[in-house]
Amino acid sequence: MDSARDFEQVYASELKPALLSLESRRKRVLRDGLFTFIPAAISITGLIIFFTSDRLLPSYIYIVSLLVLTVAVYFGIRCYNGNKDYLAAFKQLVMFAVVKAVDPDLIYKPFESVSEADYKKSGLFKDNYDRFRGDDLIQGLRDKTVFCFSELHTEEEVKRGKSSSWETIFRGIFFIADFNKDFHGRTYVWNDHDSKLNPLSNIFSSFDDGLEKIVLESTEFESAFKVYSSDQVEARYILTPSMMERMLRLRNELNTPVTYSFVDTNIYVAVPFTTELFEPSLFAETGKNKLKGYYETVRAIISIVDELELNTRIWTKQ
Amino acid sequence: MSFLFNAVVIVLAIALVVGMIIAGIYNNLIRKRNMVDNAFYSIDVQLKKRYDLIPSLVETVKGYMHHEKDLLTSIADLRTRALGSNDLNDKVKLANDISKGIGQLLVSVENYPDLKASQNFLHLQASLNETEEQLAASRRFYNSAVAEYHNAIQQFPSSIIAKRSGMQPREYFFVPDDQQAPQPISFN
Repeated sequence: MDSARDFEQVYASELKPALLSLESRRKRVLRDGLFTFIPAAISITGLIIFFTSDRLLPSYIYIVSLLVLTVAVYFGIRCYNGNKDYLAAFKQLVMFAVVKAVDPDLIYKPFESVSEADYKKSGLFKDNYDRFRGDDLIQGLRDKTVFCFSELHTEEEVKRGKSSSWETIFRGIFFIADFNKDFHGRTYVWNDHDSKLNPLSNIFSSFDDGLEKIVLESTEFESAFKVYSSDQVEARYILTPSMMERMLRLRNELNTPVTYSFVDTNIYVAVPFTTELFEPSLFAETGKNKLKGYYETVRAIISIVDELELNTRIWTKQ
Repeated sequence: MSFLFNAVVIVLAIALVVGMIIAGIYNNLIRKRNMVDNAFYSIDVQLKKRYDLIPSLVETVKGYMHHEKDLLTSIADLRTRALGSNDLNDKVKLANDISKGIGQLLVSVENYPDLKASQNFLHLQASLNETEEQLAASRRFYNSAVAEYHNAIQQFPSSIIAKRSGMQPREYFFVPDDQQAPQPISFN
């Protein structure tokens, strides 16, 4: 990022004061939490004793317990709203400055994500998800390449008898950029062993959906990914030997099983993460190292454009 | 009587199964051979696109380049020969020669800053890069289809059927190291 400002400088001038102002809010939320928990515990104990005792207890125990419970509910609501405000303030004050430190021209929308339509269009995952959540949408233009990415978490509800549980389909950063070559078909570069990522995993024939298995020359690439495409020539037009090398390198650098798809002249990159990103902890002060980590993550994701050389526009698409 | 009837049924059933297996293998061979043909057709399309660009390229650079007249003439001649050629080996050789010629031409362009900056040339260069990239993709597809076809006609038991049906190995489309397709040149 040529226009990136030095993190240390931004930390000293903007992030540190913002964190200080947030710290008092965080403590207030924790205090409200404590004021919820203690009265709730007292009132519930009181109510349990009142209703389970063998002896007839005076009714004021019941009334006082209810009053204490009201206090707990009051602080509970305050704590909930305070937490929401704290998260919002963290995004607007701290994350906004972190994103702008990477590149002042980036657009940051803390409560938006890449659209469900884009997620579906990417074709990277099973599209029978039941829950679609995401935030921290970042949009920008890097030289000639328009891109956007956000955190995303999609899940499906798995029913087992009467109970059901949520199973993650994808969790991580979902990146979309304008690809530097024109194409008309669909090409998918899935992980070799990940049934959740691959919508074809439940289908025995690889020729369904108009897709064919593409066997490429690079044995390293072949062992890392399985490639399916609607067009044998186009898949190779996109996946040139140097592009395959770059895609492998990016996967190694991000140190996570990245997958790619090429649909509708866009490139979609799914970067799985197991932890929630860009969120502050309520129980610990957000430190400089954590913010530096977020800063580096945003930089690393944007550098996909450079890693894959998406700004090389020497073909007919400009 | 019933023993003979059973034996006939069993023999017929075996013959049917064997026949189906042979038909399956034969169809698979045909599918692979068709794939090679399709892949070669995609190369042909790209070569044709490239040949269509050559007259405009020669026309555009002619006015600027004063020392490369021979090179331009030879590229134009090669193109005429390539368009009339039907033999695979000949096509491959001519395509490689044209690649080499265009490569030399693009290197010479470096000596003509006015030409390099001309919009017409920039547009042509993008189209050439595009065709070269598409051609490389088609060539890779063709070679992988040929490799798959060769495996099928050389491996047992399909090799027997291939031999009896007169299926011949195909030529790979190789680009000699010293005649690599011109490397795409950046506009910047």
